[in-house]
Amino acid sequence: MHNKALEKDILLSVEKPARYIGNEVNMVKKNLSDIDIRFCMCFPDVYEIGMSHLGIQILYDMFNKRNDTYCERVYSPWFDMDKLMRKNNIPLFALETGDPVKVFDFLGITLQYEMCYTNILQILDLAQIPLYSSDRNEAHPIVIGGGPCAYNPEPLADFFDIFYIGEGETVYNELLDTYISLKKSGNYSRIEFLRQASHIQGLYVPMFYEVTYNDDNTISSFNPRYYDVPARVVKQVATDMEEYYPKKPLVPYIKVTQDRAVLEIMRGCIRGCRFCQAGMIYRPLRERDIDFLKNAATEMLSSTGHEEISLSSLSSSDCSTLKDIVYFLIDEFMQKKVNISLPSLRIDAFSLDVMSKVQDVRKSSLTFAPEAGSQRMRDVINKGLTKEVILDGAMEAFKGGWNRVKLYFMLGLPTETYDDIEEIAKLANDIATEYYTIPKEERNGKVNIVVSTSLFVPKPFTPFQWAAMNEADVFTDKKGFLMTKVREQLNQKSIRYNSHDSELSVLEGVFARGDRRLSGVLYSAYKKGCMYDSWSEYFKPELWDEAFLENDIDPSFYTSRERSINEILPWDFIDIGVTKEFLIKEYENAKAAKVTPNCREKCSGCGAAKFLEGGCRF
Amino acid sequence: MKALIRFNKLGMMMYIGHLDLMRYFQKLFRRCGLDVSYSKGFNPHQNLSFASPLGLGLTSIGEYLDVQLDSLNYNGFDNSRLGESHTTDEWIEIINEHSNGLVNVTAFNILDDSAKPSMSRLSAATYKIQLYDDKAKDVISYFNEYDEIIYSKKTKKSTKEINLKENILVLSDNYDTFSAEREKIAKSDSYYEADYVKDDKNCLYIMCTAGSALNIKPEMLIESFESKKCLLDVKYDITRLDMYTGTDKFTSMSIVEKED
Repeated sequence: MHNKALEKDILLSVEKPARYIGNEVNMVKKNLSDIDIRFCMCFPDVYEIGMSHLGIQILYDMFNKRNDTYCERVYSPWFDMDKLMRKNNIPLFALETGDPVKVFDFLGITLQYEMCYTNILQILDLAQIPLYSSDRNEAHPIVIGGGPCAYNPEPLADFFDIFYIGEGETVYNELLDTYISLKKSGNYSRIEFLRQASHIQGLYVPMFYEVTYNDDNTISSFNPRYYDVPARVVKQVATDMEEYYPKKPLVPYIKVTQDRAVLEIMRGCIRGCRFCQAGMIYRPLRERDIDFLKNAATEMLSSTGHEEISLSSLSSSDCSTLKDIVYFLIDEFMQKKVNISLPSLRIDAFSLDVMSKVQDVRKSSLTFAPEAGSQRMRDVINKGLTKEVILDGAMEAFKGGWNRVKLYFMLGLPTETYDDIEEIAKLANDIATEYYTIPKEERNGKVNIVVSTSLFVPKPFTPFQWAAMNEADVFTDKKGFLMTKVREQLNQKSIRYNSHDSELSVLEGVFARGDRRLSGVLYSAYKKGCMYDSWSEYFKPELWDEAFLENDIDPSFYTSRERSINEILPWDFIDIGVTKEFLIKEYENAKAAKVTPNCREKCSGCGAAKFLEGGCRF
Repeated sequence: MKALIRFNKLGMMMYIGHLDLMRYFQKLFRRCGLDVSYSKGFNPHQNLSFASPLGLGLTSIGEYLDVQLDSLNYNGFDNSRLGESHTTDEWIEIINEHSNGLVNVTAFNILDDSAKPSMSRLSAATYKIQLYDDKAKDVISYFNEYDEIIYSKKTKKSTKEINLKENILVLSDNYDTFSAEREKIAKSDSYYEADYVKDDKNCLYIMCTAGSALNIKPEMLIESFESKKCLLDVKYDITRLDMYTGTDKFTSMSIVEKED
């Protein structure tokens, strides 16, 4: 098929034509005549971000292992290309063949963060696929959403045909087999296929559920419309961690955000930080076999030629084979001029040793994520990190020659007081003070501390899913207060402070815990020109305000009130293994500032062990 | 040891800028295990340099890359192959197997250690301009008509006037004529061109001054004729054919003469 977007005058008039031409090293090529299913995988953000995502590479590899399926890719066209495509009526196309996305059987969209939702509408719009699921027919692709935001898919319910809840490695084959057999039977219809899909574990077909509301706008009932459609959707968990791993990841031509090989060493986390959604939804913990990892690292580096490899997991320091794998990478690959990029590790003798081997100490910085300034607050969020541990770790590092420290905190955590916030400034100051106890001649110049605060957004399936979120003006006030407190510190000249945008975080909060009624708001915002909201320079809060008003929706309903434990939450129909009882107990522990031991110390019976035969093993 | 690699850059690769192409080669060499020398320090990198960056939107069958090697032995990720030695011809094959089909190495020469970087040796380049209109004859007659053809090159601070007439060494709409004219001033390596000059309807062939002192781009010629209205709105594709070194007599960079 001829694709006008790939003509020279169009490609030479956009900023980075390489975003649209595909043909990267390790791109899969297939003969369309051998193919039953064309699957287009989409990351709804710009190419450089989408190409950096490991999940897409895993699924791309997995789908293309099937002989009957050809998985291609598409990313959000940047503003310049978007404009040219609309002007010239060019339909959105996949990178592999250049064919329009609208001719595909499936369009799979990964939902990594709430602020990409308007980009999803852009994708559908440019692809010339009706935005609303109810307007699509047999001629259109089946639109599937998956990824972390699918754990509350409701704000997107009207735009998607299916949501895949959980890890992609498990039931896609079943879905594709169902599609092929229905097509071959000659009785294919969109509705029949979706009905059969809804019987597959982990798949949620929103059109088959009916939601009713109380007068106070809370949900009154959430039920399947048909007896054969399950009331609860069980998240999918990959139990064989060695089945799929992309040994030949795609190598982009242009520099992307993660221009390196990525080795996912484990999935899940033992920590149970109460604000962290990933820590709950990826339970239970599954570590990859050390020999598997060694082979995967070698194969990836030799198939891509990447000059860097990084480790990926939620908390690498908790991985029991971390030392083995890190020393393997250093011994095997440093001499082959591969940079080893370490994730943020807990600062201890081991991490300082490896950091000094793989980084230039003078140029690199230490990262601590205390997340909260006061010990009380850290106990509330179950972040088992004490001031002593931070100061000791910093001191060890200072003695080793480091003098840059990054500190990550959150503002707006439940029960937070201004005293807790002031503790952030004090902690930063204490670290600087610690540095200056080192005799001058042994120091490496001045200490440089960067304090960053993100704004706490309560997420579904965390113990804080019922908690109230701060309003934008409260955040702004707290940021101002912290800035003042930082400036009052003795070592204030060594401390820099920066923070996230208040309004953007509040909007994220609305969609994180929103319901179906938000579809209209999303649609209006997109029609008004909202796109790339996660890029602060393109975020247009005033248009969002208009969109809420026009749809008669008060955003604070979703963010600012503490929800009752008895309220039906929009995502309650999903079973993530971790039980609601556990989350309630944890919410109570939080309010009492009571710490819960991590999974290795003691099992707290969260419920996720049911996914593993024989339960969790530590 | 110093190596000079000749390669082509075809099709969609015209959209890959030279910094990205550099990264492409670095990764390509690592995939095939070529024993490239690395700089010292915490971020060791391969020292590569192109004779002349090719503009976005152009293809080429005559690009040159300087690369410093430690040896011709395999030094990649497959430990069982370490120390395996290959000839330069074998390396061409290995590199191309690991490439994408649009960047192909066509020559691989080991230079004397005293050889200067190709970038500083570059003195001329040849191009084929494929016009999508029958204006080639008009261009030739315009070119012959004027004593000077001034192209105003705008830099950030000033505008520099370049006389294209003096710096376009050969211009023809016929490959055989071009080739014969070129032979008078240059020792060329037409072997690589054969497949690209068969169908030369509506084509212009040009040889022009290139290098750090003055670099004539074929687009300059087109722009100066656009202002004379004879190439206005004409679509075209440009392919670089080769690069030359030398001043009195030009020599294709792929012809390596050993100094003994």
